[in-house]
Formats: sequence, C-alpha cells, structure tokens
Amino acid sequence: MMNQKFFILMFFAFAINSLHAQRFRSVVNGYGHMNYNMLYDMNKSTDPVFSYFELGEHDLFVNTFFNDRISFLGEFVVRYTKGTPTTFSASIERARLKFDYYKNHSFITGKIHTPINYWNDVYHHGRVFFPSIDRPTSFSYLIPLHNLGIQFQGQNLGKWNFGYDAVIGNGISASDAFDDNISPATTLAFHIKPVDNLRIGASYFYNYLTDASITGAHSGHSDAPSHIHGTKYTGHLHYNLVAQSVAYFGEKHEFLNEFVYNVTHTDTLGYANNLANYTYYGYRIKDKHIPYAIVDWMSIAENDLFTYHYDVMNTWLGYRHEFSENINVKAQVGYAFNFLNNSHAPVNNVQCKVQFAYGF
Amino acid sequence: MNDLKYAVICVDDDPHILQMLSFQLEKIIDTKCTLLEYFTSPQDALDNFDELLAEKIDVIFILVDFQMPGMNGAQLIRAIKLKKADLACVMLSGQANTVQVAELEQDGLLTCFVHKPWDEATLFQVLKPIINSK
Repeated sequence: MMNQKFFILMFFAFAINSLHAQRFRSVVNGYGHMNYNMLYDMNKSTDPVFSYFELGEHDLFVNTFFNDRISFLGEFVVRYTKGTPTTFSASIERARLKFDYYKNHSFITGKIHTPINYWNDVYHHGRVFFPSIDRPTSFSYLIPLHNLGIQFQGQNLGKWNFGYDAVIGNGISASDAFDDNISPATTLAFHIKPVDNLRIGASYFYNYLTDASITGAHSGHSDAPSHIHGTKYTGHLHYNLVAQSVAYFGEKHEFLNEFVYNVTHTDTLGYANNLANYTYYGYRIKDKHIPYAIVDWMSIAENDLFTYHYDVMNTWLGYRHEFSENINVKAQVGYAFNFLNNSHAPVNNVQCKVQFAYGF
Repeated sequence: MNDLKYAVICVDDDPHILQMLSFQLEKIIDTKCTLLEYFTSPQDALDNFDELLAEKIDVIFILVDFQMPGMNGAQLIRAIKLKKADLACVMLSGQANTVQVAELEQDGLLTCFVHKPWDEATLFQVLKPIINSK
C-alpha cells in the first residue's frame, strides 16, 4: 500500500515537472462545410438553372505553443479542384511562427493572411465562424489574400486597444516557394477597439508587378472574368489598395462594413479606379436565431488591366441557426445584377444557398 | 437587310487598347448603323479598307497606333489617304516618332494626335466633331 502511494506521487511529480520543463502545448482543430447551391441565370435562354450539392473546404488548424513567447499556427486546407488526378488539392493556407518579443508586440514570419480589412484578418477558413455563407466579392478579385514574408504586429495597446501590422513579403505574383519579382509587397494596417465587440480598421497595400499576367498563390483572383481575347496584360503594373472596415458583433446586433479602393496603373491605359463595398447586418432574435441582410457590390474600371472590367451587385437575405458554437446552418436567397450602365459582362441571376458549417 | 452605312476602324497591335476603345466608342457611336472594326495588324486593316470601299460603306474615321509591326501608323495613314483623301485620321500613341508625326501634320494628313494613356473625355472631344459631321 505504501509502495503504491509512493509510485502514484512519483508519477504526478514527474508529469508536472515534465510539463514545466517543456511548456509545450498543441491544439488541433478541424473545420469543414457543405453547401447546396441553386442558381437561375436570367441571361441564359437554355439551361438557365443550376442545382447542386458541394463539398466545401476542409481545414486542419494547428496551434502550437513552444514556450511563453514562441508559437506556431498552421492551416492546411483540402478542397475540390477541377483537373487534378483526385479532383481534390491540398494547400497550406497559413504557416507562421510568432515571437512575442515585448509585451503585446510580436514578430511573425511565414505565410499569413494579409491584414487587410476585418474578414481576412480575423476569420480563417472555417466557415463555422463566418456570419454569412460567402466571403465578400472583393475577396475573389481585389484583396491579396495571403502574404509570405515578415510581419511586425501589435495588439491591444492603450485604452483604445490600438493594433498595428506592418508586413513585407512576396507579392501577388509569387508562389509559396519563389518570387521572380524583385519588388516586395508592403502592407500597413491599423485598428482600434474602443468598446467591447467593436473594431475599426484601415489598411494600405502596395505591390509593383513586373508582369501583371502572373497571379500567384497570394492573389484572390481565381474568379476573375476572362481576359481580353484570351490574353492577359503582360506589362508592368502598380497595384495600390486602401481598405477600411467597421465591425461590431454584439449580443444582439451584428454589423460589418468592408470598403476597398484599388488603383492600378499601367503605361498602356493609365490609372484605373476600382471600388468595392460589403455591408452585413444581422440581428440575434434569440440565442440561436440570426436573420441577416447583405449588400455587396464591386466595380472594376474599364481600363483596369489586372482584374479586368466588371461590375456586380449581390443582395442577400439570410438566416443563421447556431446549433452550438461548433455547428451552424445558414440559408440565403439573393439577386445579383449589373448596377452600372456600361457593364460589358452581364450578370442577372437569382441564387439560393444552404450551408452546413462545423468545427471540432 | 443590312442597315450598316458607316464604319470606324481602329488599329493597334495591343488587344487591350482595342478592348478599351471598344468600351468607349460604343458610348458615342450608334452601332445600329455603324460598323466598328478592330485590327491588331495594319495590313489587315488596309485590306479591309478596300472591302469597305467596295461595299460603299462610308468610313467615318480611322484611329491608329504609331508603333506597330510591319507598318507604322504614319505609313498606314499615308497608304489609306491614297485610297480616301478626305478620311479623318486620328493617331493614338505613347511612343510616336515626332518627326514622322510632324511630317504627317505638315502634309495635312493627320486630323489629331492623342497621347497614351488617354482619358475618355479627351478622346471624345476629338472624335465627337468628326462623328457629328456625318
């Protein structure tokens, strides 16, 4: 009996001592979603209706704390990708090492989400945290989603909870392993959180592209409209982006506005001014029931040679039901259309979407 | 029944310039009665010009770049002026040979020169009087 107690005490003493010595801790989470999509394209006279189920992204999220100051965050996503042998592809969406060098000031290196606006900075790929089904339209066209490089970050400084980010990294045209463009991309971002649940931020991004036809791993341009005569502009291009966001997610009211002003410059067609704005409002009726509305528009100028001329306005009415914080279902109906008279890429459709999103 | 009575010809070896011109010209030209033609090759434009003349379609103006492969804008304008002396010719260029352009102007062959990159208002200011004269 004495020996048994002695061994139990020895075991706990050893275990506690080991934890102290290593202070090493990993958290692994998984996230995924499934969609149903229905679209009625009023511009098409034949086969105007699409109706299908979609297996969405599945995301392995790893957070490791090596010690009090150094941590690792990784996000690995598997998604459907047409044309691959298995029809699925894996990607490293984020892999970053963070060193907290002084109080709330940190140095980060690796692949990060570019700290532009609220959505790209705060949410990761797990749809369970999204207030609506889709990201703002500007994500597919204007926002440089990722950056691979170094970042200086400050969080929750002073009574207004001031935060800053300064990033230098491979630009829009880079891959995750190489960048033949000698000019790095620069991002500067600031935000304040003056009261609980409210965050106001602004950011600036600049990248000089030696060949504007190359859109690499850090671009959001996968959904860009077809290029002129099947050719992309291969000249050099200055890419400037200013963004501003206001986010409030309180107990009852949810509000998010993301504004993007993008200016591209080419020797061929000069300055092109592109704009996008996303507004979300939701109201929590009861604990689990949140109806919401979205107005999401974007205008790409006629003389833009990077994203190419396009304008669209998406209006949505939706409902989110939160079974728990780890699983929810969202349903949306919406109408998408051209809101400018000079549009050359017709959009006129009604959509219905349902999404199950989960995390564990 | 073909209602096309007029034509406009744009020649530039850069398709992005032609796309931009198409966006802009469609705002000031009645496409029901005017054929808008775009060429990346000056020789193709020249060949097409003969066809338009044969079909008795009135070409309102020709808009040309200067630096193009095979034949530059000045040479194209001189060749076209031999076929239709009263045709309005506008050059749109960012890197034109100033001597050749000056010679064109001295010979009265160039209606107007517009620098690239151009803005829509400037282009329309040049083109609207030509269009309205028809």
